[in-house]
Amino acid sequence: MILSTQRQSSPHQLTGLLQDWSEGRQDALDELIPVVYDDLYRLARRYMYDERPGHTLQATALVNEAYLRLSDSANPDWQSRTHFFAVCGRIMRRILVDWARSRKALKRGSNEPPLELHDAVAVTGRSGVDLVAIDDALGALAVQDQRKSQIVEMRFFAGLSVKQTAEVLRVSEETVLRDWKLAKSWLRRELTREPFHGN
Amino acid sequence: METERWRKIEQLYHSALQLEEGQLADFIKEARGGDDSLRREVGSLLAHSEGDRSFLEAPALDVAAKSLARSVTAAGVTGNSTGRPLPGAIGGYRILRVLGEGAMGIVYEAEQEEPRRSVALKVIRPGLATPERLRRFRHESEALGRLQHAGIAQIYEANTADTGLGPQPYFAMELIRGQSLDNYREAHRLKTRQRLELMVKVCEAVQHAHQCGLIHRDLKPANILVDEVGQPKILDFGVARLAETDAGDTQQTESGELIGTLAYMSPEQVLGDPLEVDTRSDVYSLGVNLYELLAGRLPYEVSSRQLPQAVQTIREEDPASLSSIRNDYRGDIETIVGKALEKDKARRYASAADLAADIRRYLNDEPIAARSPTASYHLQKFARRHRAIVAGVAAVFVVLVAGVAVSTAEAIRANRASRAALTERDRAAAAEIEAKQERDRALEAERAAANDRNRAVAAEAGAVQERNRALTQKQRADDESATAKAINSFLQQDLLAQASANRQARRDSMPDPDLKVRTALDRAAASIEGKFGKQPLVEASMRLTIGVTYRDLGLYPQAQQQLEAALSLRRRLLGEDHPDTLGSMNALAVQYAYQSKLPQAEAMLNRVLDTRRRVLGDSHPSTLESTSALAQVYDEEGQYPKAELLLTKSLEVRRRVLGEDRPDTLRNMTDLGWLYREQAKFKQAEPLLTKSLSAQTRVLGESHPDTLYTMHVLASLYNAKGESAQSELLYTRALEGQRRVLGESHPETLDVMNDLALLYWNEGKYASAEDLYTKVLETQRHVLGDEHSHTLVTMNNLSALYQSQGKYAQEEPLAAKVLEVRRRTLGNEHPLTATAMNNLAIPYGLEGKYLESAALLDNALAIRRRVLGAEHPLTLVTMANRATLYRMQGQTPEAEALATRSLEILQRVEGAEHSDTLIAMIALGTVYRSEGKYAQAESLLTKLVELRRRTLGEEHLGTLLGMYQLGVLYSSQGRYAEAEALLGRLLEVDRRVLGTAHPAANDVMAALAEVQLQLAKYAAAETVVREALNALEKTRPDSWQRYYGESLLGASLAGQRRYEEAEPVLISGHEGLRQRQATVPFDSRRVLMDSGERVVRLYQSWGKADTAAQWRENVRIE
Repeated sequence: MILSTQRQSSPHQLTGLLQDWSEGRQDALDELIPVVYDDLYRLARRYMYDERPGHTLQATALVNEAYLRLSDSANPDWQSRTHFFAVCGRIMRRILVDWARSRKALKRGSNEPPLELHDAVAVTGRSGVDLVAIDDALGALAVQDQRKSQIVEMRFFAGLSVKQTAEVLRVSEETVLRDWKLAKSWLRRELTREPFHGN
Repeated sequence: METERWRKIEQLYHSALQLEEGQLADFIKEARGGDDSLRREVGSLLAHSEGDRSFLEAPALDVAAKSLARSVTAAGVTGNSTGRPLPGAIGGYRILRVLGEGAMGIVYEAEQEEPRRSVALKVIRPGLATPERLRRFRHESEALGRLQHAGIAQIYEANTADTGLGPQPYFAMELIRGQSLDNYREAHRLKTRQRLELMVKVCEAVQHAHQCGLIHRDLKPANILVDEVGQPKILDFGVARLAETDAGDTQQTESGELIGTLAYMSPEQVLGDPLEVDTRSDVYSLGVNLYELLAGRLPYEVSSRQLPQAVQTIREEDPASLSSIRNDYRGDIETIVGKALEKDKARRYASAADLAADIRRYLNDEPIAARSPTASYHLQKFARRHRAIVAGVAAVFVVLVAGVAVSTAEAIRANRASRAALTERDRAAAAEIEAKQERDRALEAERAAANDRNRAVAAEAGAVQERNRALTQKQRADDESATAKAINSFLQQDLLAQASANRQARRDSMPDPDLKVRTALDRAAASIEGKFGKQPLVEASMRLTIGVTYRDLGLYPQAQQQLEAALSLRRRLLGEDHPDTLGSMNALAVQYAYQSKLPQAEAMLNRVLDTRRRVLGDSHPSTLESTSALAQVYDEEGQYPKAELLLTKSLEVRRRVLGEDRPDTLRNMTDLGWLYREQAKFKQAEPLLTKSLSAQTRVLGESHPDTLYTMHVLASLYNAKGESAQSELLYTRALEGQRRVLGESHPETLDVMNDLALLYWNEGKYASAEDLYTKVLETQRHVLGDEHSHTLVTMNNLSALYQSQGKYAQEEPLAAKVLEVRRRTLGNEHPLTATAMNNLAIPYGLEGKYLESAALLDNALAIRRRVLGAEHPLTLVTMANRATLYRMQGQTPEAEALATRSLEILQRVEGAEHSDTLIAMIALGTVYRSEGKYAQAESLLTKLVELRRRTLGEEHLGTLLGMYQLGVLYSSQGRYAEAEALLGRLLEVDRRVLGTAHPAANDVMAALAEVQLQLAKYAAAETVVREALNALEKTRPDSWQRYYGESLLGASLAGQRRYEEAEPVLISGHEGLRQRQATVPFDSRRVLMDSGERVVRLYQSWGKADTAAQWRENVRIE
């Protein structure tokens, strides 16, 4: 987990970094993350402990809010926003997975049952979807196919739509949908597999 | 895996997905069973491509939040009503539920392991407690731990916990189950004395903390809880510092919260200089709390001000004077509060203990310290404490102890002004007759002496002496009679003048426990014992007076005792037929009547009347008086013909002997008029009453109690005749007069208010009726207490009024209170208890509390079956109610069975048109409808509407409800055009008669809108729904009906293609319904499904297939 130093981000800095990243500069991402992290972290915490969950629209609104705060809102660049979302996907993944891991550790300490690892094929949102397991599986998928892993990050962790994802990755929507479907099958299989990986 | 292989896998995977379903399954089976590893790979991937399509569709954040909530639930912990996720545990305390929330943080109920106990866990909002402050707090918490006082909530631990998302400061303290100070005051309707005693306890607790070196700084009602035994407990000592803003730190609580606390802050505190704040700042806050406790409002209005103005107000403005709020607060109370609220802290009470001490002094009627004692002040105090002795009993005591001689001038006080009209003459009459008798005897002695003189010529001196003695005797007799008269007058005028307000008190008012007159009477009664051995008749006369006074105070056992003693004395000494004996008998009979011992009263009065008729004649005032008394007894017993006979005769006599315009005659006329009215002989009643009223107005004046009473009776007559306008006019006039003359709390005033409220209710003027009933109830609660039968009756009536207004939330607590008291005082088997159960079940049922309602109805049904019988109308009505409830719970077979039975029997026992039968009819009709037996439902409901139209009228609530049910039926049958017509017409009437806020009107609006949606009349539907929503948002914002309305609105908007507007309302409506599904009656369950469907359809029409699909999944899962 990257612990960021307190940095004030200026709007132009953000847009610039996003631009860079969209043009392919990977290290721009490394600079972006600390800038965004604090805000997202605070927002996420607030969301989980203080806000009302249950509205699926809310999660994206949260990232949106972060973007508005950090960017030059007088000049909203929709393309920049999309990229921002993509970055957020990465960051959100880190935040939430870290949180999920720490909760597992906590629970092992006290006498409470661990986060249930339900049948991952079952209904999302109403039964347990193990974020840590997904993170691991996603890591394995990234080795196989980076783009698919990115798609999952963007769609699942940042809540981007199919259209937005296509924009960020500069592919067609149909491609996104196909990749998404395969990625899900892959993950589902991975999650139901025994710890021992046989191929 | 190489990229090439992977690409092949992808290709194969996707092309396989193009296969037909059956083929795909085969493919998978074949691939997985084969040798080709690549195909095996694809096969296994395809196997996992089916199944749940919502996997990973919801954002991870939501997943995390939900799993947080769920893990807490899995650990055996319930969430809270707001649906927020609860942390599982903090710092070793297991979280159970949320108790409350504030600016500082959240308070949970939690369980501690060691020692095993429940605690209140206050968790500070992260961000509020910086490490610096936490360190300071931990330092202070040592001092906090030392606080051990019954009035202070104990703090067990202060620490921070690590929950993975940052350090979480918390502290664990004693869990107190109680109410905040202001709620406690309201709920228990505390009297002034009780409020003051409560504050003393609070002050003592604060004093203890001060002595331990801690200042609270945030004393307000929310921080002062009162537990079940009435012990106040102060929370959050020292914690207030955590929320304190340091100089320069702009982070603070929302300004609303700050200002809320501001109201309780002392001037030096609001200035913000921490060095200026000491224990006296807490004293100030105690003063504010005391003020609020007494006055029901804050001393300064700061809530509507901005921060700087609020500060200025606190620093400069004077509080509104307490005496302007309530008269009793004038004087000492005002002074005490004023001293606590001094802006200059040097002028305040130096400590909380000093404040407590002064309050205590006030409660003991001792001079308080807050004022410098002057001589006159002390005397005033003394006088109040010993008022009775100074004015009343002492004088009587002196009379009795010193003997008979007493100066008449001293004894008789001219207090006629405070006397109300007497209904009893016996006292004065008896005393006069008594005195006269003594004098007669003296005269006899004189005559005897004179005779003797003729005989004893020689001893002239002796004769003279004899005459002198006779004269002396006469003188003494005169004196005695004068004395007796004086004593009686004294007792009547002076002693009783103090109880003059109670003179007109009727049998139904509670004796005033504080009344010093009673003490005086008790002493007088006690001192009579053995003092009048030589003058038993004087004793009898005194006992008579005292007995009647007891009766006027409502102390019936004592009254009976005295009157019986008086009677037995006179019987023994004077004989059965002696006028005085009869007088006593009369008084005793009236006493029996007051105690509702009517047979004894009747017997005695008959005897008295017979004798008086015989001895004194028909026209004698005493005879007439007994006649009136007996007539009243017959009236009470319901023996109207006998009563009428007596009153007619006595009226005739009075007219002849006294004349037309004498008060007695006029009162007689009113009494007779009342009797006619009770027998519904309106034609005879009216002329009599109008004549009496005009004469009384002329002779006695408009404000005379007799006149007002006649006004009341006449108003009630007009009401019975249905002449509402005239009735209302008279009632209002009578009420004004009663208020002026007898006061707001007099039983007679309350009677008129009750009658007028009923009239308003019948006229449909609900607001006015509610206003009056509320006033009456308030007064009765105050004067008679919560348990008095009159209070309960008013409570019951008011709750029924709320019912007809659709104000179920207000009806409920009243009905619950009535049930509670009836249970306690009458037991669980009493018919009145059953009635109370039935009445409470109705608002419960309408609010969706089905289980509670069912329990009550079952109970009531069982009692009524047992006590009244299976075929009693009340039993059957309860049965019909239970049937309706079964229907709402979805148990239609039981509903049908019960409704059928009740209807069948009621038709037989009460006839087809009786209102009870109609209740059963509507119950069965709606059951049929919910079962889909439309033909039967239609036949019943049509008949019902027709009958109710005929018996209740076109615009009666019952008729309107029936029409609504019929409209819903048409709608269920798909007869939309007919339904629209019927419901449209109905809505017009509802608007006019019930108003748009009435639940029945809202129901019609919703039904109409549904029909219009079916008919694709979207704009029309939108108008109707908006009207309903307008009302619902104000009156029942948290009900399922409100969210149903939102869904309907959304549908109407979507129908007009206004998708953007429709989206939020549809979603909000659906979500709201989902959360409240438990309160939706069973046969309306489809509203939830419909609302989900509408969301899906919205997105489909909008072209957002993705979201539509997602929603379809969500809805299906629900």
